[in-house]
Amino acid sequence: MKPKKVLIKRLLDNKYINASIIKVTNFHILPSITDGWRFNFRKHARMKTRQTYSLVTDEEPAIIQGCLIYDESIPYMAYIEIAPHNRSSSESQVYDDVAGCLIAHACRLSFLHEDDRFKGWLTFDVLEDSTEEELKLKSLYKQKYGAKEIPGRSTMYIDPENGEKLIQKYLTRKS
Amino acid sequence: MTKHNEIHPSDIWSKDKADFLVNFIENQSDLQTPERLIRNKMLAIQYQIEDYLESNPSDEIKSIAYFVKLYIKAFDVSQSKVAKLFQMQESNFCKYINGERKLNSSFIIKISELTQTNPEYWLRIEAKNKLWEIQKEKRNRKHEEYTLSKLLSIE
Repeated sequence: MKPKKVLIKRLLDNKYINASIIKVTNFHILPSITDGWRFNFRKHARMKTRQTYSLVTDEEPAIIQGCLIYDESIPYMAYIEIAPHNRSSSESQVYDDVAGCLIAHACRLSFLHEDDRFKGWLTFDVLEDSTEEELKLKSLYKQKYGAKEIPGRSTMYIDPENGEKLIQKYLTRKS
Repeated sequence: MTKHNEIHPSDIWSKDKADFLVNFIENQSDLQTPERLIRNKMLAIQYQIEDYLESNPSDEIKSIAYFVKLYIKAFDVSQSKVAKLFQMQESNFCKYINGERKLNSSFIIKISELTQTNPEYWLRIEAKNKLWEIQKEKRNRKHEEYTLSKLLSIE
């Protein structure tokens, strides 16, 4: 599968630059906790029903800007993480829209589900160290990505209508 | 750097969770309007077309007929009904989608309007498949007789 071309924002000059979402088959290149990431992508990518994607810029293809593990059995975003240097909490954040592109890509994958009833429905869990952090992250997903909560659960979902909007916004940009 | 607790797969995934999500999505899906359900199917086909256009030449060939039939199935109509909408005989319609007749502007406009896709997609599918046929034929046949030196040697 050829890489998907996307545009992400370089915060240094607010310019959109070329990047690619690549399906990863060589799991050794994936980041893990020892690299300063939260999730061990190298380990979690190995499940049978899972597909792993990384987002890299054209100018520095060796550096992973964000990672996504998608489970196709139910459209489920098992893991998504932005590289430590791209977190909005980081003073030296380099790129923006990395998460948006990966989430939109997961939404797009959800439309390809073989069961018509599942097409476009993307589910995922929000799990943080504290309730406060969880609420903050859930709020971000709601406001920025149109996600909805399942009451009483850590699970959220993006419905097909909002998924379509995210795909339009993040995956069909022209430079 | 803040140290986080590692989240293990068992924290987020179990058979109970999977069953709950399946049930949840099925219930939510049942609440969708028929128009939204068709839109979801149409987007799915559009993304399949886009992926096909970007795929490597050695992968499986998918004809225009393949994608048109996916749309017909999604709309839950007959092929003859689509031909009627396009104001053509069903036999002609079949010739266009099966590649027996080259796509013309009129057909491309109609199919792209019906499927809400970019007209360029249909031309590119036709071109991609044609190119694949040519490459396949080239591999199977010798074409050394059609060279410049042969041409110049003709009296």
